[in-house]
Order: sequence, then structure tokens, then C-alpha cells
Amino acid sequence: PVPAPEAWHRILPPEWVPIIARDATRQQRRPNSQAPLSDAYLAGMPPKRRKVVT
Amino acid sequence: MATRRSAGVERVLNKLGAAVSAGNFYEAHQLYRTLYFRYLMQEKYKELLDLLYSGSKLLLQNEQLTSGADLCNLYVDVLGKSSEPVSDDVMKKLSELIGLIGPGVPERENFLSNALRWSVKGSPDFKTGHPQLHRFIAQIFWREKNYVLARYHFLHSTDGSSFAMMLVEIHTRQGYPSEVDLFITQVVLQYLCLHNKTTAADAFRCYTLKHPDIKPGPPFLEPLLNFIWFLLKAIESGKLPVFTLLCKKYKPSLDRDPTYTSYLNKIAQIFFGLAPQRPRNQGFLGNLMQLLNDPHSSDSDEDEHPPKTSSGQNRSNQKMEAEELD
Repeated sequence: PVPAPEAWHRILPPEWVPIIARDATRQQRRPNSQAPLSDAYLAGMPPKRRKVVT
Repeated sequence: MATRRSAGVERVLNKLGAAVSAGNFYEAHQLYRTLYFRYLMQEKYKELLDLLYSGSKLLLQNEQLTSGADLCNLYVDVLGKSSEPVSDDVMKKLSELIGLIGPGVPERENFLSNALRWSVKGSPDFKTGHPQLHRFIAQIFWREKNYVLARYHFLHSTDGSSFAMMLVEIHTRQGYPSEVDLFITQVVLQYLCLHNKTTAADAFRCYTLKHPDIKPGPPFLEPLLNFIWFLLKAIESGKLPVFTLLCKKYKPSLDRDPTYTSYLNKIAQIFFGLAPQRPRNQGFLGNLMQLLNDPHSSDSDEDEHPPKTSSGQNRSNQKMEAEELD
């Protein structure tokens, strides 16, 4: 079951809540599609997975 | 008989000394091999190990890479036969020899996997090789700028801070600025999938501290870094609702790399007691885990739930990975 909007506050340590709330706003501002990943980054994936993503 | 034998060894040793000082490395290599067979028959492992180590070094330092690598393989072969314990000292020697062989010598790969296989002797916990040997090997590949192999070996080591320093180097040289948080997230999740939460935390701490583009935290400016910070804490508490909530709240960040979901499913099983996925998904996860695992080892699955593939298939997959890794 999905917690009600404020119910999630009770699950977490209270000091996390403002950080997560602030991050929620930050994440909204991010463009929806991630820019293509660099080869240097993709090289860190297990080889087969890399092929699926690229 | 015994004296005749040792007199024979004495003679070969003298010839070896002469060949070396004359710079006749071809002959020296043959003499080392002769001595290998003689000592082996006499079960004089200690002497043989010293001889093969110094011989390997001598040949490698004189650019006799193929014959030097041949002696390296004899060295690791004798290690297996002897009762020499797995120690930092021997692992240092093994990695020193790997470094001296250098890239581009085909025998090196064989030596490396034999060394790793030997290093698990007596420690059934390390299936892919001793973490300390992985660490030494990672440093060699890092020095050679072979980031792919260095990454793989760091991941099986417990040296999270060196791994972090290498990630800073890779990211600042070859990554995109927007990936500053992705590089460490990928590695933390991979460490966690390998059950190594301590090293995951070390790597995270060191990366966020040392990366010039990350403002000190926690909390961090990058949501994904906060996610990892919380995740590491949540693992300590083992509370599944906290974990699922974090994954939900940070979904936009986590979606930036499609592989994260499968890592997190695995992490849910390892640290939060979530039941394994349905067979279909498990097969996929199993494969992913298999790919994270050692290409050098014959024992691929560190998991209690082996993937559905047959062991024959596992082996060929690993072989393919080993080839791709090179």
C-alpha cells in the first residue's frame, strides 16, 4: 500500500525529511531524459548490460 | 644417489650463472626449466619458489617477456603444489610479476587467473580470488590506465578508497560533468550486490570527500548522493519500508541509469530480506550478477539461488566476458 502524502514522514528518521523534500523539488527540475552516458561511465557496467543500454 | 642428484643441480646452477652473466637468456630459460623439473622431483618447493621468482624477475627485467611469463606460470604452479600459505608477501610477489610482464603478453592472463585461483586456497569465502590480491592487481591496471580491468579487480577488493580515487580520475578525465554522482552510485550499488557494504561506504566517503566538483556533505547538492547516503544508513537498520520509500522518492534520479533497478532488487534481497523475484526476473538478475562476477574463476555464483542457466552455459558466458574484458 502506498503511504498517504504525509505518512511517509513517519517511516523515516525525522532529520531526513527536509532533505528528501528538497531533493524532490530538485529532481523535478531535472530534464526528463538523461543525456547519453559517456563511454567511460558505460565501461563500468557488466559487458552484456552495457550493450542493452547503448 | 642424493649426493649425485644435488651435484647435478649444482652443475646446472653454475651453468645458469654463466648463462645469465653472458646475457644468454634463451639458455638461462632452458636451465631454469631443467631446475624446475629436478627440484620438483625432489619436492624442494622452498628452493624452487625462490629460484622461479628470481628467474622470472630476471628474464622480465631483461625484456624476455614470453619466457619470463613462462617461469611465472611455473612459479604459481609450484605454489599450488607446495604448502606455502597465502600471505601478503606472496601476493605482492605475484602482482609484481604481473606488473613486470606488462600488457600485451598473452601468457599474462593465464598467470593472473592461476594466481587468483591459488589465492583462494584455504579461504572458501573468496570465490573470485583473495581481496588483497585483487587490490594489488587493480593497482597495476590502474597504473596502466586499463580502467575496465582495474574497476573489476577493485570491485573484488576491500580497497574502496583507492577505487574512489580512480573513479575521480576517470570521471574528471573522461566522464561528463553531469555524471559526477553516477560514477560513485554505480560502484556503491555494485559493491552492495557483492555483499560488501563496508567497502561501499568507504568508497562513497572517499569519493564525495575528494572529488573537486562535489560540495562537502552530507547532505549533498546532488539528490542521488543523498540517496546513497540514506541507503547505506538504511542497510544498517535493515528496515524494508525505509528502503522502498527511498527508492520511490528518488526514482527520477535512479532512472538515469536503467541498470540501477536491477541492482536495487538484488540489494533488497541481500539486506532487507525481500524474497527473490519470480523465476523470469531472477534469471535476468542472476545473469547480471554473473556478469559482475569473476571472469577468471570457474565458480561464478556467489548467490544462494543459482540462475536458471545450466552450469555449462555459465562457463561459456564467463569465457565470453573474459574475452570482452580484454
